[in-house]
Amino acid sequence: MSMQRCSSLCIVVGALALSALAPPALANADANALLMRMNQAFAELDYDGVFTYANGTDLTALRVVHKVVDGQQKERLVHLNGAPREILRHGESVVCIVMPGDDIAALEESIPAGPFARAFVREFERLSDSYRVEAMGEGRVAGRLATRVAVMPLDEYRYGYRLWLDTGTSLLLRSELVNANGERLEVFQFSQVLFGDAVNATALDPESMQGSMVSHLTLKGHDTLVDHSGPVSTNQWRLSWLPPGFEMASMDLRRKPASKQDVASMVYSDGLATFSVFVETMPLDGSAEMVARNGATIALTRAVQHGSRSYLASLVGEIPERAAQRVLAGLRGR
Amino acid sequence: MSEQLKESMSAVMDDEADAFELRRVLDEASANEDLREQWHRMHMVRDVLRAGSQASVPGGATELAESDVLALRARVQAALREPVDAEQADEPLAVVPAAKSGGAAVSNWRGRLTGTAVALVVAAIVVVNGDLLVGDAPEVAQVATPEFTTLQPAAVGPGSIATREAAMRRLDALRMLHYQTTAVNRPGAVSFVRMATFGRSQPVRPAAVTDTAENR
Repeated sequence: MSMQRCSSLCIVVGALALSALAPPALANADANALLMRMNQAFAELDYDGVFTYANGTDLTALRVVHKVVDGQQKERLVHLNGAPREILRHGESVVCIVMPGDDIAALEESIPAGPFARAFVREFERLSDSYRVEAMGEGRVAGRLATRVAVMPLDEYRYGYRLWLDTGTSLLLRSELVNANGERLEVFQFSQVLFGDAVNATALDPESMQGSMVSHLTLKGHDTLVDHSGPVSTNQWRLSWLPPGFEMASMDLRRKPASKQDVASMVYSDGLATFSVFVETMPLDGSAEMVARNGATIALTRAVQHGSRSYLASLVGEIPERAAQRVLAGLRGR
Repeated sequence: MSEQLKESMSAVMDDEADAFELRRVLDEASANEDLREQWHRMHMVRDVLRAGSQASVPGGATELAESDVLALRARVQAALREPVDAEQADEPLAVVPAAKSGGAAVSNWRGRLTGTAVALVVAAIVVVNGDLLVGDAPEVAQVATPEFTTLQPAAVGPGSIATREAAMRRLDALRMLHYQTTAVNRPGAVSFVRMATFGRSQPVRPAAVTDTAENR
């Protein structure tokens, strides 16, 4: 009798130990629902919080105020350290308030293009081909109870994510983007956040900054003409290799800020990670092939010959460098 | 000299400066002799590079002889290639693990865009042509080309300071475009934060340096 009791206890303990070792993968439907709720929370909730954002070696603190007023999303992002910078978004209109000489100001001409709502619905169903979503129990962020979720890549062509979702509202409280070695390349984390009625509409008003510059921008469907008769066109290029699960998300002819040069832009996504491939005519001042990294974002360039012309191809995205190199190496002219 | 001022100077040189940047450079230059000196040297380097391009294209038919221009520029850049290995040894090897990049050192080359680096490039020009230090820009343009075209062609190196700076600006602009695209598609998410926190690129490894190091 006592022997029997002991063995059944052992089985229970053993089962518990096993389940602790291998966290349960969420059923696809559950994972989808969870991530969809997270996306909705960003857009539909009223929140006012302070978060830190670490990207590589940079650490930034920002305040975000988000409120839906008369059915319209209003958002205000305030940089709390360094040069003052505020980004206000009212529906599809974006306003940047910066000090002269701000990096973002030099590039402001092309700040968001296309309606925010355009591709809002992500196909989370696709994720299951490339990622395994696991529930990791509970955690605590910004003084709030959080549900922990790991989004693990199934191959070496993409990064993984660790997410902390507010248990009450599903708002993303903390996210980490991690490479195959478990190193954190990018961390986003709320330090404090208020929800609902606690979010005052006056918090959406910008602070006046002496000497600042303001630029108003209205979002358009397409920011520039799409002229495929020019020297650069999007349907002229193809990639001989794509990491499994990645599909073309958009294709555009963009006008690069500053240089005013046309650049073919092709965006690929696996539903979570995104990279852009750009092709432009080889600038007359030439270009060194190079690799740049900003936290999770890799950027590389290489020269491509097509016909009698030289082009400069670049890849920018949040994917591992080896995958990026392989993709760019496979760029071919049609 | 501040990093920002250096970037402004280079923007002015690339004709990409806005009114504010131009004003800042002019104001600083009027008060700072070192800056004027560096400004002069940057222009000299650029003039030499441009002189090389133009001289190989009779009649200014730039479109037609693009390959000539590129070939000549490659030789000029090879001639101007600065010794980077010694400097790289002192650089912090963060960000990209060395093993992943074939054992090549990873350096923040932007940090090396200093007066010293400019001086090294200028020294290289002086070795090639002692006349370069005297005279104004048009004379430089006239004497430079025949001298440089006698150099042996070499693999395109990390390029001149102006080239790398331009390449860096190009990558920054593309990075911003990328952030915008993803931010537009995912409102409020981290991708929007990436755009909102946009700043100049920091760690950079010119791919050509990797090749050179491996070939030795």
